[in-house]
Amino acid sequence: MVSNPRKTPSIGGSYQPLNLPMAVQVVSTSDGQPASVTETRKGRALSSQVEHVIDLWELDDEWWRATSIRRRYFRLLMDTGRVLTVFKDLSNGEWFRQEY
Amino acid sequence: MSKYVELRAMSWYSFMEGASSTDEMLGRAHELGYDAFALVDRNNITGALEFSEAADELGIKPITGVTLMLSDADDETPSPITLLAENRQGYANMCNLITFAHIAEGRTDPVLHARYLPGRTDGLIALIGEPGSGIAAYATDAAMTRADAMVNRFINWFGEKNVFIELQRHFVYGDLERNRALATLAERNDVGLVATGGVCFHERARSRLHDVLTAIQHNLTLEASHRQRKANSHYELRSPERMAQLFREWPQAIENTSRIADRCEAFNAKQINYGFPRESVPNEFEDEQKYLEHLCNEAAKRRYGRITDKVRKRLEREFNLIKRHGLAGFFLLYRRVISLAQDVAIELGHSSAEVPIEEKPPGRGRGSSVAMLVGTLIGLSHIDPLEYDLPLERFISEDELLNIPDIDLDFPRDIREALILRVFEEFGWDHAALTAMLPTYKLKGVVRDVGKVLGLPPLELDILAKRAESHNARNLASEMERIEELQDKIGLPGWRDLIEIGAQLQGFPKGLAQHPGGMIISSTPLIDITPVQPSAIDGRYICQWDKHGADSAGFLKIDFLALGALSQMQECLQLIEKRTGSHVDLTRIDFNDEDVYDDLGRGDTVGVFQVESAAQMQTITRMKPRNLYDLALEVAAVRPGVGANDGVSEFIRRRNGSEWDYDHPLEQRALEKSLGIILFQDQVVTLGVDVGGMTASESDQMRRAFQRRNNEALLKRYWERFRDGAAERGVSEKIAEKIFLKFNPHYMFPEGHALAFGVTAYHMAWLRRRYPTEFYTAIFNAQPMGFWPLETLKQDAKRMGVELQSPHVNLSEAKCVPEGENAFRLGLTFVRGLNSDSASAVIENRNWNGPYTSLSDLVSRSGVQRAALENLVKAGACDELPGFTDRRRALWEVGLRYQASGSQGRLKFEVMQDMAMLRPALERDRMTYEYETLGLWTAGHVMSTMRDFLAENQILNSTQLDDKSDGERVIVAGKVLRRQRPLGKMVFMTLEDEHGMIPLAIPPDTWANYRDVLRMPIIVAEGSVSRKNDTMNIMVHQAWPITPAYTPRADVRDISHNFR
Repeated sequence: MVSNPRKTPSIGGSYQPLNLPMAVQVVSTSDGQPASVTETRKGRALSSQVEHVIDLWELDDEWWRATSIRRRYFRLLMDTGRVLTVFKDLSNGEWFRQEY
Repeated sequence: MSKYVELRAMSWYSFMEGASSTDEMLGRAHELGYDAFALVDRNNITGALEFSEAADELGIKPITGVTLMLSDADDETPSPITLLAENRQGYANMCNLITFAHIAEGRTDPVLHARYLPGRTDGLIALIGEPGSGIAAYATDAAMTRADAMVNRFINWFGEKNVFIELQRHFVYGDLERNRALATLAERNDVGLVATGGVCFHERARSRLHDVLTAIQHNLTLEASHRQRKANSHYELRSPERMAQLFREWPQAIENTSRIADRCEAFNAKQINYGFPRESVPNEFEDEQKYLEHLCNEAAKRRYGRITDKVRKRLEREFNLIKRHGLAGFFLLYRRVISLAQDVAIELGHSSAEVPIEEKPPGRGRGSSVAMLVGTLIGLSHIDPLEYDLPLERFISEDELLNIPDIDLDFPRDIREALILRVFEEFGWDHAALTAMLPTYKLKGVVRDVGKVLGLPPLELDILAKRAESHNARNLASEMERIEELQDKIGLPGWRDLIEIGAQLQGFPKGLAQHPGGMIISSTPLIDITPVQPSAIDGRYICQWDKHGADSAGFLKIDFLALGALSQMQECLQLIEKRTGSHVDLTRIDFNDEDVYDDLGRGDTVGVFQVESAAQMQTITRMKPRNLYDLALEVAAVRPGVGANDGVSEFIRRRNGSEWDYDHPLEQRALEKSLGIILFQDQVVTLGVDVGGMTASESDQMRRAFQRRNNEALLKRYWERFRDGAAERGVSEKIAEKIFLKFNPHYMFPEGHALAFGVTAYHMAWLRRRYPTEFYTAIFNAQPMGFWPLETLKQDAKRMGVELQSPHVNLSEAKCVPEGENAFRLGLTFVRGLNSDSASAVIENRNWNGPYTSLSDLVSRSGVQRAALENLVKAGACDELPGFTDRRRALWEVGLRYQASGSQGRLKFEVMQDMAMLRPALERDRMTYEYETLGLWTAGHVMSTMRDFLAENQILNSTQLDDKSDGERVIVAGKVLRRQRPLGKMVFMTLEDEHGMIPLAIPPDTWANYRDVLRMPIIVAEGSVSRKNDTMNIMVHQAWPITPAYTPRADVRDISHNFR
């Protein structure tokens, strides 16, 4: 939250941002739910299949700014046993991984 | 499986928490196929009746409820709870609990303490576990034992069949986990689950407005309100099918919505169960009716000497109607209230215990109630309905009583203020409350509130709020388009949102406020039939219905209205008595005073109640009233309902001899007195009866139907009823239609009301003519009131031979006082910055320690703040002090001598060595000082300072227009007093100069071209004289600004080139 978003950069220059979204490739089912997620780590593509959608939630915010936030989050249980949180940016359809 | 019913929807009556109207919510519910629907606004049931009426029309079963914050001693923070009324008992308990939430915790943040629940839960269904509640938090945090304990407390209060744990799904982080925990909790405690939508708006597009409302509610910007706003936009009303899908894991939660809806009776006005108040009667009388009849007969003997046949017949008819409709208690209650008012009037020295109440009523009745002789005899009204043969039907009909008759009473301000408190003392806040008012968002409020939360620049918002002409926020774009500084902002981010969201916010209620005087009194506890809450003013309580809600609920409502004119009249009579030693009894003055009617006929009516507006002045010169009934016609004629069909002009034409006839002979009884034109509400009712063959109550319902929103279908039914009834009476469809088209939704006076106001207008005109000094003194003291600013009143007083004297620190009182027969002196409170306390300080010191002997003496003794002292100097209040030379020098001296009250050792220092050599104040300085501190210039008028220059440029003054004929081109100048746009087309303005007034009419295209100039305080206008039907206007073609004389003359000349 900043007092004047038009004058303030979204991230302070001298701070290291944490938990930034990382782009991932997602293959969706017909009803829009993720079926598989592919992450790129150190130049290697790692894919895993979605075993189960644990939870689903959405964010709509900052609609008054030039770029608004519209995201659909999924907490997923992968076939590897890992729990992964990804979101779909609803304004452009791109997918990201981000812990929540 | 049973169909889902929405049990948790908030409308705009949740004030800042709901972003849709009840109509929008129901419209969407209808589209989505809902059969039943519950409105559960936050802390109130203000929308419940409106909601139930609209739901009935759509075939949706209305359920009423409320959302409250509940505080339990064992719980740390208040938690939300939703209550639904299952039946009449539940409704009464709900009203009680809402009341206690407001009364116990304070006005702004109501919280219901759990100690109020025992004994008040019958008929109520409680939904608990909403997101944000303690139960939801404990359940989710796996503190199940604490959650169990809380659920059990609810079971103890409400019973296990009446407690349901609520599941909501908004796609917010944690929803699923919470719902699963709550489902476990329900199972552990064997209570039902229920799904709800937690609906805040009817469609998702309103979520932005909801965000804005949240930010406004918390006085934050959108940026800063992240924690307060909803996480996403999924708080819209969803379809039953979608809800069933979302809660497929818990089908019983969907089924329970139907079960609960089946258990709840449909809410309607009958459930409120209001009964007319009953009054206790002395033992010797059988019942209320007999007691009322006795009181009226005794008063009639006092008033008329004996009960004549005419009086007896009228009383018998009224007594029968009162008996038939069970209204005796109603009138006795009014009599009790009037007696309280009489007590107040006696205590304030305005009346005497020896005068019977009907002879000098403490207030003046208005509205249709004036038609009742019973009302006159119990002191409700000062008009004798027999004298004017007033019809009863509009107030109380012979057949069924579909609407409760309203009684409106005007009081002087001081009586009204004391009376409201006296009524609370007499009846208690649980039996008496003021009705609420719902202030709504209009353009200015939208710009300020929405603009602020969007973070738009305050300076530009201020320009828009001040310069916009429309009050409708849906016109924001066109208003910005018109204002040069804002034109390029229309499409910009932020401003674009303001335009879009502002349009949605137009008309939204902002909260519950206190109606100026509408009061509800009940014999049974009021809080069983409506919630009551404290008003913003200490000692007052309001119910949660506004005027329309109170009407729908069938409440008996008394309107106590403060009328500045009555305060003025009261003071005027006291001043006359003080000067002359004799009391003027206004009931016994000459009501045929030719001089008074001459004044009225000339439009010489500044300051005269009801007939002083520019529109009234233009009409009264054509009507030329010569008796009280004429004056009532005049008062009634200048109303939107009469003007809508060009009724005023046509009435005046007929009155001045133009030929006319009824559209059908059956109109005669209704329209005889007003030459075939509908001037009064009562006449619509009589036409419905005589032409349309309706009953009186049916016809009155038709009259009311014209004023309802979305009334097309209703009016169509009334038209068919009127047409068919007229046909049975031999009136053709064409003629019936012609008569029906005369009815309209705009406001008109009832005949009795017009008479009551006409009499008050005559009283004022008579006082103005016979006792002008006291009249103007009193009207100054009664400000703010009426139509004209103080300067206009001062100029008018001068024309009537009364001089206004400057304020004077050694002679002025706090208020204005007469000085001799032909002058009055301004009071010290008229000087800006002096309130009654500081004025009293100046006066008391003078009275105790002698007059002020110098400016230095005033500064050291009066104890008045520096700014106020400077204003006294500027206003001329120190001009006569010994040794006073000049206002500019005196201002310097005040600066040198003033020492703040907290400063140590207030010593009198010699200051003359520090006096600057200043040029003395010129006339223009004194004028500016006085306009700044008094709002008027006692010695003259701003236009006189530039008269030479204006005359050089052939610019006429107001008296020079008298001999100008129709069509002649003229240039005039003046100070702008008024701008009005009555029908949204032509703009009418009134200019004032040192001699009088100049009426301007500005056609729309001229207004569009010269709008900015015409909004300036002093203008020059060129146009042609228009004389029609004894009225004169300047039809303006062009306009220019002009600056007063203290501007260097060269500048004025530059401007003047424009119009040479």
